[in-house]
Amino acid sequence: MGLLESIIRSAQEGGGGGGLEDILEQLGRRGQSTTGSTLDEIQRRRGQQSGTSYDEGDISIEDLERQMGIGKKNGNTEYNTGGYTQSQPYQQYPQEYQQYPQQQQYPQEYQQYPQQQQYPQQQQYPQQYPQQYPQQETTTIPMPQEEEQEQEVGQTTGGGMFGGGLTSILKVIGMGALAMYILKKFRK
Amino acid sequence: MEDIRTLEKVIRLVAKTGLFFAKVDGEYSDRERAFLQAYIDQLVNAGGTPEEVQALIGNIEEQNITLDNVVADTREVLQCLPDNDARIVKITLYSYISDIVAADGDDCPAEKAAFEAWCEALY
Repeated sequence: MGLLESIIRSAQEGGGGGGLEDILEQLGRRGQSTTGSTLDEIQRRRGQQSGTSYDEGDISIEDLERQMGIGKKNGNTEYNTGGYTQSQPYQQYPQEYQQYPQQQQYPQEYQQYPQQQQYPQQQQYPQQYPQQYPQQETTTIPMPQEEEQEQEVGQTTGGGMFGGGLTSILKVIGMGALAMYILKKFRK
Repeated sequence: MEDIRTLEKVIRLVAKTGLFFAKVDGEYSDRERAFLQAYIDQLVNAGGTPEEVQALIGNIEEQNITLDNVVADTREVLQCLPDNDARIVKITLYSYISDIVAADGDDCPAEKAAFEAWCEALY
């Protein structure tokens, strides 16, 4: 599947919605075609070996890092001493996927934040409909949002687990990069 | 700046990074500007960013962003995150920049040099 097809498919499927695994998978796919060369060059200049082969389906953080040449400061031995080799099958790393269990554990994100994406517009309308948006309401609405955001950030920075917020941001980053690709591709 | 939380720092960093690499080849068209603005708006919506950060992001376009700024901000964000989260953010940023740099199909020396400098600084 080409990049453009994957973009369209992803858009048709509503951006995936699978959380971190989707991000990793998307990055892994794109990494096959567009990433690696720059870091590889740097790596070569530093006289270090890179592991650039990539076996689709065996997607992990380590695989992505290795494929992109990341983590090279310690060389491949770092992965080997940790028990990871690229030839080992995915089934041997179940804990990694258990660490990032996807969005089923964060359904509240979608239930708690529906207003967030709608309320920025309210700033544009107070003069137009002042009687419909009294001051009291506009000042009380942000309070629960701030509390919810604190909880979200706590998840993000607390236990090494991706909170729903950061996952959402990373998904947007991925889609934004793809959109940038299209924009530049067809600009000329 | 100290009051901006981690998630908001990530948003700001992505906006800054995207803007820097979009501009680095010397071409910054209206379409790119419109895209970046829409993209930043999307990030703000996804992150539920407060008004003051939205205003900050809104002014990024007018700021003179340098590679040193981007690298410093990236380091700052990565230091705020647990190891695994930092690694994912770093991978995502790398892929994000890689796509932007490779997007137009031109082998632009300025883009390549900036990307290499970014990698040198952060890896």
